[in-house]
Amino acid sequence: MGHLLCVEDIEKIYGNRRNVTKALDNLSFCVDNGEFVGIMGPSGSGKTTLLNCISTIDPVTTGHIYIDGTDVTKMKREHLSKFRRQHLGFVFQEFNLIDSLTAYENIALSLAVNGIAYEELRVLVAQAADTLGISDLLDRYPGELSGGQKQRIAVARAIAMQPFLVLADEPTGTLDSRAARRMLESFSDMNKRLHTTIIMVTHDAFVASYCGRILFLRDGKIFTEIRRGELTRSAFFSRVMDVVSVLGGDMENAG
Amino acid sequence: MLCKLAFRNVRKSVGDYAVYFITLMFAVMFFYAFNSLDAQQAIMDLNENKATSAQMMLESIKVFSTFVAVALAILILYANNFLIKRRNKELGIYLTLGMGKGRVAGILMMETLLVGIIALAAGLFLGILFSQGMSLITAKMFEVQLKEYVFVFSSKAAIQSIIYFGVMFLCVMLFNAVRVSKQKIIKLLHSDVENEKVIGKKTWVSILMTVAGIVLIIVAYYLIIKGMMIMYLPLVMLFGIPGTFLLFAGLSGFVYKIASRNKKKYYKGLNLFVTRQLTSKINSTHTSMALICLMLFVTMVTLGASSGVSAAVNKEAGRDIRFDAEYYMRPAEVENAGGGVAALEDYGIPVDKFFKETAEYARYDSDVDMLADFAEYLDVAQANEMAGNMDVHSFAGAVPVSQFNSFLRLIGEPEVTVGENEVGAVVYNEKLAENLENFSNDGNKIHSNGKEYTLSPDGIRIVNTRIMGAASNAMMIFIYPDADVAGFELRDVMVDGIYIDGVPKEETDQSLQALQSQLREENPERPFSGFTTALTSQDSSIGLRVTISFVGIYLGITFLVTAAVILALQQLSAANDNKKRYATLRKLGTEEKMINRSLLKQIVIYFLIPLAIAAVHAIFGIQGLMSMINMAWYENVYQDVFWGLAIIAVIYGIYFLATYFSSKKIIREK
Repeated sequence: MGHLLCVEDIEKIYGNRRNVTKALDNLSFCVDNGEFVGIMGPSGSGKTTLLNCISTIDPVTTGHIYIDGTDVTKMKREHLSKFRRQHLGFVFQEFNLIDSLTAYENIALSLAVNGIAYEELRVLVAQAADTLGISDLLDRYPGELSGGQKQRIAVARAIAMQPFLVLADEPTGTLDSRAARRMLESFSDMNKRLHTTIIMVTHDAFVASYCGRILFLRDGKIFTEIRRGELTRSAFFSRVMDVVSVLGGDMENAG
Repeated sequence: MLCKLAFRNVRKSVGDYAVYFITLMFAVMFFYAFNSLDAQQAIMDLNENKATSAQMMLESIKVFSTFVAVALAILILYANNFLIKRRNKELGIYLTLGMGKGRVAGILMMETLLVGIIALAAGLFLGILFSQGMSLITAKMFEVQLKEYVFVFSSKAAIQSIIYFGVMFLCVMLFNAVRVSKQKIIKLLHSDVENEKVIGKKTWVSILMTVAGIVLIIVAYYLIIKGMMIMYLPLVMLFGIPGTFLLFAGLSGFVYKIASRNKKKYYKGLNLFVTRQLTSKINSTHTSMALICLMLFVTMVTLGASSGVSAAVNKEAGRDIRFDAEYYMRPAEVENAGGGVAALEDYGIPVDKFFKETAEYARYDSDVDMLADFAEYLDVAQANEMAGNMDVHSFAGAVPVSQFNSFLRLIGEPEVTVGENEVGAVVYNEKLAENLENFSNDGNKIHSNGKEYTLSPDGIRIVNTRIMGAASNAMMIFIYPDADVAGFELRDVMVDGIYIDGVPKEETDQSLQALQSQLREENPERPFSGFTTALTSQDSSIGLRVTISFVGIYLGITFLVTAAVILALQQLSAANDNKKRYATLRKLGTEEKMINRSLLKQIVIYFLIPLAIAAVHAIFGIQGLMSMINMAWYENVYQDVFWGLAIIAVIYGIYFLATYFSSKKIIREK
């Protein structure tokens, strides 16, 4: 299995000549097809910047990002949004559902924007809803749903196009622990059954313990990386906690 | 500190609420300009006739100004409401920072005051500039020269504007203060999170409402078409107004039902988003949309009809009148003196001194009921007019042929000859002449005097027999053989004349009128009941025209601006409330072009729905109004109506564009 995503020596510099901040500093890693990768780090370590660079929302200063062999840093702007739409799925902390549309329409809209015709759209929405176990919620408006249900709708929207890569930024950030657990179980289920590749940013060690591999960032560099391998989730959780304590106690406030 | 905060806030708002601010300025500007018309008049060289008609115009403007002021006050309160709503969060922050409610209310009052003063000052300034241009237009409409160019400033109108708008701002200030003092902090802080309630009525309820609305509206239209608008105006309103409200109340469900029927189209691009945006907006604003629709309707009718009517009056004034003066002689006096001209001479008017040529003829009421005999050959409007005008029986006029020929000679028309069982006819427009020709070509006869007459097609003349106005005459006058009029009731004897050559007509006109008013003082018993000259009639028709145009424009613009502003503010607040939705679309990778197009679609449809319904209303409304004001000379004023509609299109279009660009800016905000 080849690399789905390769990040090569990327740098992201903010600010002007007098006041330079290196958000990402000479960072490289690869993600294989079907992996579930977590990105952790204290606030200011560049987690979200990295995710934004991968998702092509934020251009890198130097370096290359290959997604399925395509160098997205070389792509023209007008192609980028199309690429993003078709090949990447996003899950946000704030759900970002449109409250005037039903759950069904929210999922359908992202497909319709991609120019999918109704016959195909119908099937794709049903598949995605089935994966997330939300088929009975489709007629409801976001206002009538709980936080966990909303987030599962958002995930269904993200995977409906069957993207190469799902990028999730603190997807459990606003959920209570039960809803968060259920959400993460759907993530690992998707990863195992459908081989969906997922990259998830989080500051919560418990959440991260669902991943197969975790990258720890500090000051824009990869501090270390750990793999779950054959460990149980609770054993993996203790390993994560060990790294977190080495990395510095700032994790709880990270955003 | 309070002042500083308020001032900063206002400076921020000027850019943000361009629509509100410009509208305030426009309101003051138009209010001042129309109320300063009397000062503008003072600098004009108006003769007596024109001055009287100018007075009439001023009086009517004054009446309508009160109404306009009330409408503007409501508009300003509404716009203010939107302003406050958009700033709820900011106000909440002031309160959490520990600022007392009194002080926050103070800041708001200060802001209102500042905005008010700036708008008032700017509006007055623009109004003064605008009134300079307006006095030029007024002078042109009155067909007079300005004595000399003077800068017109009416302190009376300025003070009036300041008082009206001052009171209005005071109300707004109090309103805001009360509003803030009643608010809860938590609500203010979270006001941007609250969502519109999307749950609407059941679909079948909506459809039922829409259908009921359409039925009521059709009933109202039917009443208008049947020409019953005059008698049944309250009834037309009783059906039309609730019908419009019902239609809008059910519209959102109805539109959704139709749009989502075709699934392929509905799930294409942003269509489903646009549909949902529109239907939820229509659902939450249907009452005000219906009001806007009715306002637009009134605008179209006033602007459209006033330009139509004033064009008709213009046409009436510009009628082809080929003589200069007319007398309506009293039959008894004519008989005593042995002729009309002789009676005038006896009274003391040296006819030969003023007139080159005169003609006189007697006019009778015939026994021909135009409605009954010609019903099949008349248009609905013509028939209506007769029915509305003169009871159910409307008799044609009758003139003896030999006398009438003298009149035809006077104006240079070929004379009419009629055989024993023949009549000729005089009408004043081609359409009627055509109808009469058809009548006689179909072999119809006219029953009159116990005889049967044929209408000879060669005996039909299209001429204006009176200066006073075509509508004061019967629509048809038949020319009978001399002997046959004896049995008819004598109405009056006309003496018409053309002024002498070599002297300007204005001069003759003035000296004749001067002589007559002098004679009247000496001897109030005049041998004639009416006297008009072509020049006087032209002057007074100018006055009528100016009045109708100005009042129409004044009211029309007020209604139009009100409607457009409300629509604009609703769309802007929608853009403001839905910023997050657009951000989501962007995050899903929707291209900016697609988002802009969806925004444009929403605004276009939102602006067009009330306009389209109002336009359909207006077609029937103007039709009804035209037949109501008795447009005997209605030939083709419809093209002038389009000028009124063009004004609407321009102002509406400006507000539409402002809304689109401001909304685009708002939805780009983070």
